[in-house]
Amino acid sequence: MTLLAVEDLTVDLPAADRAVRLVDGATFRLRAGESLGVVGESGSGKTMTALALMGLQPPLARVGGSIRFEGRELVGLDEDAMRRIRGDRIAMIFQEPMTALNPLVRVGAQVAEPLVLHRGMSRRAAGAEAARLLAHVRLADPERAARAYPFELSGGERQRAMIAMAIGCSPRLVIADEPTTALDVTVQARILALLDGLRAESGMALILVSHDLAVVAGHCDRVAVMYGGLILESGPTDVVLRRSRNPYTRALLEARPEPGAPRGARLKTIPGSPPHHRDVGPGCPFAGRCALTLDVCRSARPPAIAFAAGHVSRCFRAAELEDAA
Amino acid sequence: MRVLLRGNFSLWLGAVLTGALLLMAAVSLVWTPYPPAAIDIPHKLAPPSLAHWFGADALGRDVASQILAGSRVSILVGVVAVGIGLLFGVALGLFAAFRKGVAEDAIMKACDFVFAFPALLSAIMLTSAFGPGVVNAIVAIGVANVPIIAKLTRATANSALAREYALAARASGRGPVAIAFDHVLPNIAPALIVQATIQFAIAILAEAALSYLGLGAQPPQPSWGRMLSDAQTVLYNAPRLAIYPGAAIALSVLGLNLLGDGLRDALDPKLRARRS
Amino acid sequence: MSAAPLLDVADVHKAYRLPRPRPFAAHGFKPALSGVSFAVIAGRSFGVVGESGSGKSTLARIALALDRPDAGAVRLEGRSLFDLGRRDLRAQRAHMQMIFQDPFGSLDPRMRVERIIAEPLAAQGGVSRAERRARVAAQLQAVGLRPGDAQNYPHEFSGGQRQRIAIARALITRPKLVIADEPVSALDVSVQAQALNLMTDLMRDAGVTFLLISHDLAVVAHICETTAVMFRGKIVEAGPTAALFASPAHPYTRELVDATPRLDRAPKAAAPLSAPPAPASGRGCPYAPRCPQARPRCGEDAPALTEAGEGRRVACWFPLG
Repeated sequence: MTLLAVEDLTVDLPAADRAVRLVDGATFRLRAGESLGVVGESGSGKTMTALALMGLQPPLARVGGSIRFEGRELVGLDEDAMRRIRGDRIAMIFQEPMTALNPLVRVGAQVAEPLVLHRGMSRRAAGAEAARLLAHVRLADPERAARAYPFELSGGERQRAMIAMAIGCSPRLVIADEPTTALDVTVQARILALLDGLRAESGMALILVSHDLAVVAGHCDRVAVMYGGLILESGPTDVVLRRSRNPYTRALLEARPEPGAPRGARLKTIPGSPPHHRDVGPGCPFAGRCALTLDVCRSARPPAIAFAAGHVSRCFRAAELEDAA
Repeated sequence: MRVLLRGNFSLWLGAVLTGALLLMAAVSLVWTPYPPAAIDIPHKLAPPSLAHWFGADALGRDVASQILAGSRVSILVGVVAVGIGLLFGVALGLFAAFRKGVAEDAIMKACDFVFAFPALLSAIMLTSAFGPGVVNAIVAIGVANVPIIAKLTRATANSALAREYALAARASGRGPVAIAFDHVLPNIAPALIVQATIQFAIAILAEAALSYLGLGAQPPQPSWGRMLSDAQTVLYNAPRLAIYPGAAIALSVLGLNLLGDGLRDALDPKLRARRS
Repeated sequence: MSAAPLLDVADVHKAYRLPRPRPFAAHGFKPALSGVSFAVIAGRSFGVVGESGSGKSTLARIALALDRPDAGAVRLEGRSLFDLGRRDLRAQRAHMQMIFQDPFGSLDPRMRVERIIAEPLAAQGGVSRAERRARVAAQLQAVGLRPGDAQNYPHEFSGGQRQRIAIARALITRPKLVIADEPVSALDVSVQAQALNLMTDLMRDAGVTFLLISHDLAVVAHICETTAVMFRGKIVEAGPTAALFASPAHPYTRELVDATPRLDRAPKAAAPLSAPPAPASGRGCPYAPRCPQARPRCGEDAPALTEAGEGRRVACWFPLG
């Protein structure tokens, strides 16, 4: 069953002279229990896409296209209705739990808050449920964590508390924006394993936003690679990683040092740096840095070309890129 | 948008008012309608006229001339007192920030001690000990400025020193003096400039208050504070004699405060970037 | 040609004073480094990996003499840095420079690039204006920027370009040792490769030896011949990088290797629990509370870092096979 269907999503931010398009034509679907990885560098539009799904885009930004969630259109929904969905049916986990948690409120009370708000629970019942949730995210000492203030927990513990808060109302969709970027690798592995486990047992869907392809590769069924506001490639994770039809995805895969590779081997580099969203012209945002650039790449947006198994690449030369990788 | 406009507006109005104050002082150096201290009993309490724009006081002295010449004392006190505050305050604050530990604690405790005395009270103590006069008033106000500037300097310098570029400078072998001048001072200068304009305004107020009490400028030196004090005896006959110096003080202080406010916005790189 | 290693860190200890928990209570101390020893040989870049709180950044500051250790010595080509006078230490700094993690915070926003890059020269003195200008221009080219960039301010550059500026500054005195603390972790993936290639070139062409501090095993493995793994202020394992990561002897190294996300294999199942409460006794192996192989002895007695053959050292009572 399709839980979320995003069709041609755009986010425009009015600027001095013209509107700047932060997200351009994002299209993807998500079934219950499925996980989608959204990968991109700074300025790729990955975080803005996640925020738009929650209706949390910046105040002046305009969202276009369609977001259908559980059969209901979210684009254009008024703030009151959106607020009832937020934290209840769709929940979000942020990168830095230290800033996403209120430093002056005990962790237990914060985890209980959505339950009071959306489930109409009494404070006492919500508090008991919060303790159960903190145990559920496998915090070593849930009672201590509930009584603690955020600064008294470690980074990994805080992120577990954030997850407890997010799953409290059994949301059907959890959006995690770089949930492990601020954490150590060993803690990251445990947090990602926890999210995998929660997804398996409750059938919630997960959108994992990350700059790290390898993080997404290990934990997502499908992946969307964003660059300059565009989803340049999307499809089943295995297909995108092994048989990429997009020069940007390929360049990203080759630019990464792999732990097993010989020392000092030259890495393939991508010249230049990612564009600022103000500087994205009419063509493909990757055109300037791409080794395969044609004239047409600079003047027109590449079309989304579909291949087998829901594999889609936005590139004029997608068909030429054989299964070589 | 409105915030930015307000920021620009206060900078603009502050600059105009402060400029007018400086202009008055400059003009009074070469020209005043009458010698400001010239007593002219026949014209005592003369109302404003073409001959005496703001009228004359109880001794027949021309009020306009006194207002013009009085600005000199205000500026002198402001510049020197703020100068004393900056010179010693920045030095002490930087020293405290660079030399952590006992030296830092001692300087900050000493600052707290000076801070605990209201500036005006310590000025009264100083002038009563060493005699009334502009020089003692300046020293008293300047000394009161030192802990304020020192504390601001230490706090902002500490955050500048915590930045990686300061660490990078240390790692490349630069000494504390070079780091202070190249990395710390340029980065804390905006905060200091803003504070200095505010301290300038406070110094003008303090001088007026001391002169009002007879502890500042002594006759025949014209001073706005002393004009206020002189006007008090004839307040019911000629209230305007209090209004002119009062307005001069108020406008100068307002101008300097607006200037400080406007500079704070203008020198903040984050606000500046948003504006461009 | 002395036989002394380029950098010799010998039994360094450092603890930070914690704020008093209550008024008039005694200060607590948080050990950041306890007995860290290693040597960096010229021409063989050395990596230090570990997670936050492992003491690796404290180590970088002490190796650069930006901080004094409580005990132990740091020697650069045989000269003990903490026994030098202020003037001699400043002269020694020409031979060791640093690259920081944050390419935004490490460049003074109010200075032009030329002054930023020339700063280590200014510290040494005795360089004419014309020579300084020429060396800055040459250095800019060496890191792949244009000489014309010297007159711009840092905010006019992207993150990757700024990190190149920081690298140019570190190399202007032609140092033998460059200490790099997470030099690429703030950069976008597509820009990281440029910086890593630049570092590789500098090792080969400019004779630079890196002491590279990172949480990223792939980055360390790419640059460093030898690597030490730190945990809670101690080196738990050290040795040739390839062997270390291919067959870890310490269970913590194993955990790190398994936890590193890779494209070429599915993630290994991670232990589900978050870190359990710290053990009451401070005597045992610091990793014991987390260690899947821990036995009673590990909680009572801390293992020392001992030779394990083939240039490897490991601090574990029961090293992995």
